[in-house]
Amino acid sequence: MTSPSTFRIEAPSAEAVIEVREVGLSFEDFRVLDGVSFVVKEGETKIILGESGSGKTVLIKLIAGLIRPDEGQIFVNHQEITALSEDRLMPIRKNIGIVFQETALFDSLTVLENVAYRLHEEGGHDEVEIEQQVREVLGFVGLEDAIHLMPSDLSGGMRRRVALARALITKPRIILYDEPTAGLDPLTGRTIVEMILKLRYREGVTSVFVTHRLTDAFTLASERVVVAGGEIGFDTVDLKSPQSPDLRTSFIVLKDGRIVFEGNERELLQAKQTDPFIRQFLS
Amino acid sequence: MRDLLDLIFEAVLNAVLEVQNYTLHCSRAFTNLFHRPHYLQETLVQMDIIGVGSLTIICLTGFFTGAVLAMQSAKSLQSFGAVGLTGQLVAVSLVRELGPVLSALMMAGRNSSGMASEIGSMVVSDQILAMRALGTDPSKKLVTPRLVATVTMLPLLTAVCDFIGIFGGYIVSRFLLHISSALYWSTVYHNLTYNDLLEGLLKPFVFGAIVATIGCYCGIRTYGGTQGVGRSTTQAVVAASILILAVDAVLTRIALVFFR
Repeated sequence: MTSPSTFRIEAPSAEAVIEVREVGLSFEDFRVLDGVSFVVKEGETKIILGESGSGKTVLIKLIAGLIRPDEGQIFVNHQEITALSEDRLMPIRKNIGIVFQETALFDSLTVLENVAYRLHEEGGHDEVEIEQQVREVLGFVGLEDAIHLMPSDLSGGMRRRVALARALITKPRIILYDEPTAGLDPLTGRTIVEMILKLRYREGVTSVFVTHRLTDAFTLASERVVVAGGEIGFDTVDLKSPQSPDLRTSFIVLKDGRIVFEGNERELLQAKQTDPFIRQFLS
Repeated sequence: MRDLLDLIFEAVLNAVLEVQNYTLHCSRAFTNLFHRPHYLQETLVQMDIIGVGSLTIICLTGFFTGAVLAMQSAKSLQSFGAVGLTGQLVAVSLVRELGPVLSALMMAGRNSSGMASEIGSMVVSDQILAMRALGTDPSKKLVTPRLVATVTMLPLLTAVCDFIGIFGGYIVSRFLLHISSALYWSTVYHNLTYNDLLEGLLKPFVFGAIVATIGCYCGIRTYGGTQGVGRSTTQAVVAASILILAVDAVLTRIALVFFR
């Protein structure tokens, strides 16, 4: 077993955009995460599966530096964020977009102000330029007409799309999705996942996608965007075929704060045959 | 017995921790003044909400306090045959003590609770987390503008409260006690000293800081959903009111030494 002091002198993996090393966290007597380690490479989509309360959301907050682990290290873009002060975390967070589970839209601001929030905070942009950028990103999520509405005027699905637009406005290279489809009907959930697929196709962003909805996870893993004659469509990849292209999507399954599976979709389906927990979780 | 000692130790430890966190919160809110970014627009909005928004209740508080003070003091002064000094008593009591304290208590009721519930709601709906994730320091964006706005607005509101209170005392003195206008205003004018004004206008700066920092602190440490927001709001009003009264006792003692 490697001691924590040995970890401290190790450099982060060269390809890793996000690296989580032996991270542990407790809330009072409750162990939320225990010895969690994984790497997310450039352009990769890491899907974190697990039951409610297994530590998925906490992991997203840790990667964004919103909470600190009790032990272990987290690297984002090769920089250790574990011990950084709030002021030093700010520039790192500029490269990260987060879509929160309950959207966390500012309820006293309009959709325009919500999406433009980061641009206003950065300063140096004129209002015309800001509105143009907001309209562009709202156009991507199909909500250009809702620009002057308040969050309370929007449906659940629309709120998720605004939250996605807010995360995308500064074109971050890392996007963290915390259950972006939870509580939505299957059709609206599918719309959100398609947007994430399109985003991956268009920008090639690195992302961590937390969910307990298997349909969404497997859609992300097995579908890809195809453009034919200017029309955007989705093509399903046969996961069982050895020739299926590497979509750079991999899975982590969390159980009681520990990783019980890590691998690609094919390995996950194989694990279903041998691991009783994964079989129960996937069925 | 051992359990009881453990409980007492834990309670003391929690209280010390709370004081430490509150001190850190206050020092951050203050030092933010010297670090960018500064949220001027946000500060002006808060000045409008806290200052202009509180004007009506401050005027009403001042007027009725002055009126009641005139009625009560005239009754006591009557036994010494000194009803003519009602103006002096109303003015000095209001300017030195009741104006600052009552204005601050009204602000605690209106604004500390407002700040705690607004920020508390943002905490429980993850808006504070989102703010941090979007690169904003909530202390700079939410706490410091409210602190600056309250500290600048409360002395002004106190001055308004004092004047309206003295006017309320005048209405009672003139129409109920039949004291002449000239006598009332001359006793007010000749007996109010600069030291009275200085004491009465220095206290609101400290009270303003208490109203804002307690309101924001209770909001930021909210937990437990909507019930938690309600709890934080109540705690903000209670803590701010008690702290205002306790600090007033200390400030009055200091003022009696320096501004006799």
